[in-house]
Amino acid sequence: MINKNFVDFSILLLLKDKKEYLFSFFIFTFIVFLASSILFISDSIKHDLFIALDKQHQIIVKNTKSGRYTPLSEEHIDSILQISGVDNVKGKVDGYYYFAQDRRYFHIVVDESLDEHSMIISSEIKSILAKFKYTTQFNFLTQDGITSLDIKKVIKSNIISNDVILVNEDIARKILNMDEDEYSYLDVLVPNNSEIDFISLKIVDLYPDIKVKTKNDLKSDYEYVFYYKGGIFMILYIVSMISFFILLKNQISSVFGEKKREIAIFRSIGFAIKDIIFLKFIQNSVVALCSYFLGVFLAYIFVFIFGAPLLKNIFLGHDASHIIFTPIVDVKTLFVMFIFTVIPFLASILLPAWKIAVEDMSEVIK
Amino acid sequence: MSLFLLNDIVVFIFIEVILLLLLFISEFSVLKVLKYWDFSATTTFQYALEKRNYLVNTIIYFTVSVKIVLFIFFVKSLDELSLLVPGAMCATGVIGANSYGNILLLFKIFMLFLLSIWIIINKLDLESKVFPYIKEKYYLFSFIFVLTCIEFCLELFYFMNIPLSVPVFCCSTVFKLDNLPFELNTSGLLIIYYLLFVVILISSYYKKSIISFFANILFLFTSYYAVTYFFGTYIYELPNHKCPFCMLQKEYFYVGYFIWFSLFLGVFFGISPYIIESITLKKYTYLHKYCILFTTIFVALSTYFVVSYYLKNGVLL
Amino acid sequence: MRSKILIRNLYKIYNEKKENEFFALKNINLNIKCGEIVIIKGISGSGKSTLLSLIGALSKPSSGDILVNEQNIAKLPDIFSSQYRNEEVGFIFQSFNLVDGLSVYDNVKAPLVLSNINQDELKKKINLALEVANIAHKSQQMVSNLSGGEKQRCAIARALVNSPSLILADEPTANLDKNNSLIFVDILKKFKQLNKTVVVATHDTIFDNLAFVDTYVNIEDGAII
Repeated sequence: MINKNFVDFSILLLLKDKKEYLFSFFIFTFIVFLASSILFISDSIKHDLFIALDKQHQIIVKNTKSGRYTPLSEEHIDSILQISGVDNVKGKVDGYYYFAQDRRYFHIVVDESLDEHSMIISSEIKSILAKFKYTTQFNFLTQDGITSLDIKKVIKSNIISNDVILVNEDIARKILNMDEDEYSYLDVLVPNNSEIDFISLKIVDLYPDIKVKTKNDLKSDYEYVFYYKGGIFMILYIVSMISFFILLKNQISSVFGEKKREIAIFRSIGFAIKDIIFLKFIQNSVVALCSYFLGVFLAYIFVFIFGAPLLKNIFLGHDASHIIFTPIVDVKTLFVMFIFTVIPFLASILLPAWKIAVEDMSEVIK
Repeated sequence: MSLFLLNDIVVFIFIEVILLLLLFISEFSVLKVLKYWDFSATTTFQYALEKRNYLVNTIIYFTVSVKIVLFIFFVKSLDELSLLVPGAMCATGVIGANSYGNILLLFKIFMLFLLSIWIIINKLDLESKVFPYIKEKYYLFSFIFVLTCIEFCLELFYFMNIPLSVPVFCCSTVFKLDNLPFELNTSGLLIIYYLLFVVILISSYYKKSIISFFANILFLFTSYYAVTYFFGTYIYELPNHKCPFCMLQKEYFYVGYFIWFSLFLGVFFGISPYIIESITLKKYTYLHKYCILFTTIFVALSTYFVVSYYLKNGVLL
Repeated sequence: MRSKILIRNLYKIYNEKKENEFFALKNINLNIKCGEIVIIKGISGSGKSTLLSLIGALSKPSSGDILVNEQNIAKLPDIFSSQYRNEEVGFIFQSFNLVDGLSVYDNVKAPLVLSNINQDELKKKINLALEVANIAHKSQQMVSNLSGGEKQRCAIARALVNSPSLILADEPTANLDKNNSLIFVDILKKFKQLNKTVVVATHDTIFDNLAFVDTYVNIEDGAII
């Protein structure tokens, strides 16, 4: 059983030699910090994506012609409504406006609550417009001339809303140059979830050109891209982590080496080999745990309070400076982090600890 | 390459590689000891071999603790994967997604059993002053090492072969009504279940290791079927939900962990006395009381759900 | 508890069966009775320290038996030899071997942390040992700030804290001035009263012709003469 006196004494010795452990403490904190920052960012992005996904209807229908997306018409809506099991079909207008001055695409999304003269933009877009002196309104260049809209409100940029401009439906058609009876995609409402797959097959039967995505398809797609990229990232991270651990191991070995005489003294007064190994294990567990909590804490501040400068660009590219991350901390992520960092750390001290513990102790008598 | 499918899998494989590396280092020491061990010798070399013993011990203790954590992590990751694998609603679908899954799961449980037995023999070895079982325990270690390598390969094959496009079956189709072995019906199964429980209690109480050994092995399989096909339905309160994994989820207050772990612990303490006795050739009855304890917890827990359902609703499912 | 050491045909050979083979101890036979004070005399390099480290299970002999309380410690596995060192033996080393950076109190505590005793008992044992060694007034001082004599008294307190029946002292006066050496001789007398078995390895003439010493053993080139 674990003996309290022994644990206390190990920690007493650790505090005595805290300088020697400082290096491994900082290196390890850095490892934890980096890994948890990355996981925090990806968790947060994932969270925002899925929240957005949840608001969508079960089936999304898009039209294609020679492999490219083309608008849908009222006729499509009518015939899909005929399929039994479909409750409602809504035509949606949505598309991209090319802002040539900054060579950027703006995502035009419809918001019915807006009037014909105003729009809502994201904070990222606000800063782009501000560069060109559009602070209160913006002029869209359309086929029929200039459409000018007032900025009514600015919303936060997250992964979904970063390049979004919300406008009235009529204005959206104008900007995107779409006719009255044209729709970018259709939202199909199916009350019974178990019929979704069947109905989407029916729609494809009606129009072979049409692309149908169910909510689950989308979710799987997202997850797939996400996890796949995350996994590759993890591999790269492991490679760099291994080099860190080699550094750590050398450091620990040299710290242990300096303590040869001290270990021999403990052995002479009755510490067994297993006690010495356990002592080193306790000390390094304390170091690892402190580093772990500090690293996670720093990562939280870095990602959710400072918005993860530098790292953000690696994840999201250059036009992401205004994206904020929704603070999401999942217990499971912390558990993964713990396994991923603390276990290799402790594994790397087993061998040095044993080596120092079995050293010849006859030198104490000289 | 579904290896990269989930961070968890990458982390899992990474830690397994580390453990394998550690075991490899100790296997090197083990082979040396097996080859040169001579307790009567007073050479420096013999004393160095004795010291290697402690390295192997440390690594095994570490491995076992990590393996237990990893086992829980593995089951959790399977749950997570069920979101990605089409058709899977819980871990059942993911485990059954290819032919390696079920073997791997059995293997993992078996490995934990073996490692624990190793630790007990090691304890007996260290309590004596002449290392009486050192050869036996190191042969067992080498066996464990080979199995760990096989386990690792299974893990790789398993994760690489998880299908992402072809739908897998979920628990509703895997565990159909007529899936009981030997054409047993539910009442027959329950009779055997409680009968074996009584046999285990008696044999453990009178410390009959060999009876306890066989009764526990039978009990392990009976319990698997009894929990999946009978007790589980009362946990879910759905007559057709027959699944050993869903009860591990949050919706059921993680009760599955208690159920399965009490079963495994009970069975472990029930079969290990006989195995240890056949290795050390000495009576070892110290563990029987734990067998009684955990098996009773397991049976009480599973019975509780049936009784409480009956009391609440006045009928059985 | 009364202790008794019986040594039979003891050899310690370094670099066995190699060119630079060296016999540190040759065929040592020794019988030390309970409560005896034994002084092992010899010049440095004569093998007296090696003998002491074998009796204290700090190293293992090349052949021969060392029976302490009828138990052969020559081939004990590490766990048992450590337990033996912890519970049966108190060491007093020439260079004191205290842990720098810890207080006197914590140094004396070190042998006790292995046994799971409660805090009160722990304190009682430490304070008693500090009293006996006459260093209680410095208990909170760092050992690095102590004088040679005080360091040794701290080492003595640590040796006594687990109330061992056997005290082994290796050149205890080599790093002390005349005055402190005489104090140590007094402490030796105290050990005699406490009925401890004591083995001292030394070449210091201060231990010559002491009335309370039971046996003098002279050692030269690894053999008793």
